[in-house]
Amino acid sequence: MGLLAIGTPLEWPEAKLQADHVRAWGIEQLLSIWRRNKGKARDALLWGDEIEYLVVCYDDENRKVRLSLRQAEILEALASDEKLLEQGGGVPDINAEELKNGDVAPAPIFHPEFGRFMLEATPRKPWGIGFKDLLDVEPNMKLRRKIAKEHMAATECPITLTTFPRLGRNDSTKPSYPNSGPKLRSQFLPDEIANPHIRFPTLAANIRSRRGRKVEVNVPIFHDEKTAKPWKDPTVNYDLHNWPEDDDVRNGAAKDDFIHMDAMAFGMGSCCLQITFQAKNIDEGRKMYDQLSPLGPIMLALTAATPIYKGFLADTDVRWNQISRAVDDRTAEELGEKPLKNDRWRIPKSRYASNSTYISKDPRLRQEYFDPDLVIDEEIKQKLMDGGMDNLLATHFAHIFIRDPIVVFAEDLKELDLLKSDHFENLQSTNWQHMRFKPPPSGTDDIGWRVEFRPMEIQITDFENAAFSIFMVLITRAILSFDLNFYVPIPRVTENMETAHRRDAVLNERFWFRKDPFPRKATGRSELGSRPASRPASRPPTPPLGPVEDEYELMSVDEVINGQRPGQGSGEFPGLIPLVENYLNSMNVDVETRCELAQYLDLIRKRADGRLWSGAKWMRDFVSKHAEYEKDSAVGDGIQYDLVKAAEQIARNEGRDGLGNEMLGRH
Amino acid sequence: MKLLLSTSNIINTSPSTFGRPTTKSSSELTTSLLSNFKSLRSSSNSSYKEWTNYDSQTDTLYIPTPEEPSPGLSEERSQYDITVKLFYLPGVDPKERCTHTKEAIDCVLKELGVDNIDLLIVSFPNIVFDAEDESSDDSDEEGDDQQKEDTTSPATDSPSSSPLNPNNHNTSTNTNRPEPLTSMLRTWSTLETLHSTSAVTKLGLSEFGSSRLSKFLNHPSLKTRPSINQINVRDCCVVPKPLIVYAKQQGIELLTHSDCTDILPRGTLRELLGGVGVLEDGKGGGGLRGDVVPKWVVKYTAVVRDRGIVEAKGYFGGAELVGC
Repeated sequence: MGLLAIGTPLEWPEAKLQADHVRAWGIEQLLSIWRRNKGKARDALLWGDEIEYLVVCYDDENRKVRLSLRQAEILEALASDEKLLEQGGGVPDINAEELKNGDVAPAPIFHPEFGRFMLEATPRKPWGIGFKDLLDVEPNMKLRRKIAKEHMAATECPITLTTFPRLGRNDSTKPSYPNSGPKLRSQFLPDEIANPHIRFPTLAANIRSRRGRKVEVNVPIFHDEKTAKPWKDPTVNYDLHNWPEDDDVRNGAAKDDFIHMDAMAFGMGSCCLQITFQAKNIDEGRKMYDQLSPLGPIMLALTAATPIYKGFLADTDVRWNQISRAVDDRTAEELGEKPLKNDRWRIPKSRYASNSTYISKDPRLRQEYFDPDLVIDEEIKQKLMDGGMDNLLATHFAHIFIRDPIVVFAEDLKELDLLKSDHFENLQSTNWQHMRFKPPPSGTDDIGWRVEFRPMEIQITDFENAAFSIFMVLITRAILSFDLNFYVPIPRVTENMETAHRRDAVLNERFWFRKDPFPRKATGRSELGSRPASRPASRPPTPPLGPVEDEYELMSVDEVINGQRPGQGSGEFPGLIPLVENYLNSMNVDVETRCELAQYLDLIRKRADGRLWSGAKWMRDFVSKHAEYEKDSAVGDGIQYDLVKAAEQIARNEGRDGLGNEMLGRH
Repeated sequence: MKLLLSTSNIINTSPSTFGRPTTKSSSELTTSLLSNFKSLRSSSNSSYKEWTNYDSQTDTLYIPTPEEPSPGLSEERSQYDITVKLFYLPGVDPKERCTHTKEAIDCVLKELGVDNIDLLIVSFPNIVFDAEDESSDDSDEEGDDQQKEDTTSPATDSPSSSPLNPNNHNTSTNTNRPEPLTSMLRTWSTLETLHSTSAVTKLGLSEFGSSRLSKFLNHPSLKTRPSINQINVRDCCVVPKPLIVYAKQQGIELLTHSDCTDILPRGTLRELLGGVGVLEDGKGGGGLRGDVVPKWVVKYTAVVRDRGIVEAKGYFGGAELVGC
């Protein structure tokens, strides 16, 4: 996440008054970007991964672990490391000055994130598709972790858990701050939990204001043997009277059998594994966007690693919906709780949600795949189409632009600069769908149209993170080489996203997925120019399309990843791993690389068929076997301490010492 | 009569031929040939003459009729890595290989609309790479300790000591044993010619264990060294260390593949052509009579290098119809 320029952010509702203004300029900028770049082509696949860390601080004497809020100091230390800078690394937002030659062994780059306890690291330069590049990914991830650790205090450590298990409980941060600050107004978290850059507290505060109450993040509790039924979140304080929003819980925000959370940091403080691909051109980008979209829920379930919230075992395995709710700025009218009076639409999804439409010019994209109830701003769509944009892409952006900008800087409203993209990005970057379609950034010629794949959960080890990153890269290559077709109706993808949340969804749930991913042997070769005398006049005609419902069926993650066996559903789907293997068989891959890739694919194969455990399953198991666990769903300080320590040890030893080997299978 | 078979580009037009976990090249080849033929027949009892083309000048039957103009590639030549693997089939006299090589390469060049290829890998019949044989084979010559990091180079080994390499035994046809090295080297000189005319940039071998490889590299008649040795490994993590070390020393890259050696057995081809009415199938379908003898198979791939995208992939096969 890059930091935008500092300025004077408008508070709500002043920002709301500028919404049309920002949208109008955003659309002008988008059209300008689109006109400049629609023909832009880049020859090479480039891709990048982002690893996000929690920074924890151990208190070994008391067997406690807290979140370290020293993000700024750590970034400062990274930014002033001469050696790192010489190698082209560092912290770009702090070290704005020119970085030296990028050609030496590239050091990674570190970025701040929403949570003040978070750190993000990316490779200095994007990866290519050269197989040697693929082998560099894991060592580079390990290097990032090492460098990050070296710039922390001795008691601190970067950890790749999606969430801090007891975030929101007393004495969870170092230093400690009082809860219930003016920005978040959370009864569980201090304002200081968020990155102090004015953008972040404003984002949180304006989401809360727009919504008219605090965000409501409720996660179902996992009922263990001794968990009360109904279970009432014992940490909720119903007697707080600091802010009007303290009424929320008295008005029923906390519900029986749900863990209750009330601030953006509970969601945006999660760590994810995101991959961005550069497409050859806009059309290829649109195709990748569409084809990767149905894979989102599958990859979410497969990477599940989030079984604990606020010190309790949850009945869900992934972070997604919690983030979604933590930034849900919809008003009661938009949510459908009140009749529409001031707002324009009822909106079925949060700003952070699964994709809502398809955008490719693919002739295989059938009308039936679209959501008939997609909410769009018709005026904006018309403006985009008047500007020359096609219907599909205009629809996509007219959907994104139904939202209000949340953070508006007064300084930016004075003059419209069509060479910049700030107003467009204001909306674009606060629409967190599971894919993001990214136009080339302004001010640089090197970067083309990109697609970001966002649903995966961060994994404890860099071995796993490399495996999932590289798997996604190989999948995109197989999609483009074989011209694969994963289309299912977009509402089915949304449904799958919900399914992916259930406990052990990776093993027990079934997802809507397309049976036959192969292109139809449509026209085959072109008839033009073929010798008429020796060719039948017409080839067998392409059979007509059947009903959309016949194209897909429910499959387990195992079927999607490893392929259907006879008797499993239609038995048609070949499996993503076999498709990738087949792709690799068509490439010249050296022995060493193939061996390395085989280990990655093996991890994914076994995660899908259950031979290896998801992170979520392993953590549940760890908690349930812990001596201090009382079978009441509560994850106490001691358990958390051991769990975080274990995560650190697993990141180091990758199961070779036995710990965590159920996830990793490395002897 | 010569028969020239083609799958056309199978990368995204033949769903039935890829994606299955057990797909090996032989079934990939035969399924995609079949699927290509079937897609061109207007009905199951139509004459093969409708979709094949006989060139009387060369006495060659093209199955199916080649596309005109040939499909070619969508981007500039420099964007691609074009790899061609030529399978010399068992039971064919090595003396014919010079002609076969030329025929095969010409097919690919024409299909892709290019005038050279980046890598030509050859597969000699009856060589099967087996990691375990390889290590026991090598252990005689290189010391028994396979774990040893600094395995000595087998470069000085005498060529006659390997039981797997019957150099002095001339077997050109009809045996399951690999042919002598001298025969392979004679074939290799054909490839060296292609290399010297720049039709091929790099040459490669397949299935060579370290012992055979060292003999090959040290043979006095070798002029152009191979850059690649392609091996079939079920689980590539068991590639014998001596081979890895030796290949590295020699600057030869070890690549993986999943093709099988006997890629187009006679009976399979006979059945395939009978099934689509090219050969007389005994039911009076009007097909050709005679025995079909597969001579060579060539597999090609064109990969957009910097994007890792396979744009074209396919096979050609050459066969002879005898006794008709």
